[in-house]
Amino acid sequence: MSFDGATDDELVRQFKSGIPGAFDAIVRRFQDRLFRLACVWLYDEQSAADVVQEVFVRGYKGLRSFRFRSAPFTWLYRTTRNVCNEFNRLRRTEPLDDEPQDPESAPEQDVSTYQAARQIRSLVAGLPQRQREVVLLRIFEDMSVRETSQSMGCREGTVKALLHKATESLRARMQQAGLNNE
Amino acid sequence: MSDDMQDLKRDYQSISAPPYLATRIAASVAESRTRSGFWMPAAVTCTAILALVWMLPATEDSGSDVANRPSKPSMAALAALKPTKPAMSTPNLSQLRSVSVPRMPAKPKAVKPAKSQTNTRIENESLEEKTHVYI
Repeated sequence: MSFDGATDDELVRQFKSGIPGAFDAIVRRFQDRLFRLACVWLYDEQSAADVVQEVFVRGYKGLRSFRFRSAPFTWLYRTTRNVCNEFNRLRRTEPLDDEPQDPESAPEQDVSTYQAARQIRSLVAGLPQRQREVVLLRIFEDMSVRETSQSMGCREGTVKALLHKATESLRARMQQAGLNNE
Repeated sequence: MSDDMQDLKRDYQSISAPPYLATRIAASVAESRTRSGFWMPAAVTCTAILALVWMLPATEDSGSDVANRPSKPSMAALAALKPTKPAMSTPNLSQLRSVSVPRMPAKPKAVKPAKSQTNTRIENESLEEKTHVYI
């Protein structure tokens, strides 16, 4: 059975009704986005992979009782955020505020592959947590204002205001760093 | 948005999960499914043991009952049975008369004190006098 043309809600419905392969399709559809977000929130890609694995293990149980009050990605995004916070709490470090203690510990190919995630992490490191989320979801994940507000659990106006403040802060930082912001 | 930001966004969106991740997720989901049902064999074993423990005394009791149960009596044998009352020893009247009962002691005579009688008489006399006066 092909799940490519199915919407997110349809995929979850098929999973809930016990159609084999539906959960694998959910994993294939969302794992890249969740992995990217986890790469920014955590300090190494191995932990990001562990987080995504844990999110889908929880999703296997949680999505069975999913009531479609929000989008499935919203549920997965919030779970990813919570698991990342748990990981960071275990490390006794503040999420996103500090650079990794040993950034060169990862293999060479990993450093090059995930360089963008590291740059974004350092870019948004000085922003408050809500502004970081808005920048990640709205700018880098290309989500709409509505999707962003649903994922963050706030109003659309709040998303716009947070995004405005965040872009002002980023522009100032980039000017200080001498980057082109035309 | 600046060109640097566009480049950064493009690089970011090109990040994909490692190819082994989907396999790892499938394995861990299967493991969690197994883990969530690991108590089933233990529960079945415990239930079986409890059922055995509960049933063994019952079978032993039923076996001993069968062995010790008397054969069913026939109606004729039941009809031949007479109710036997326990023999009670009734006392004989002559025996009752012969029983010696000790005599009751004599009733003591009541002795009135002389003083109290005098006082009573005096009181009566004074009452008579008073009555007489008022009349």
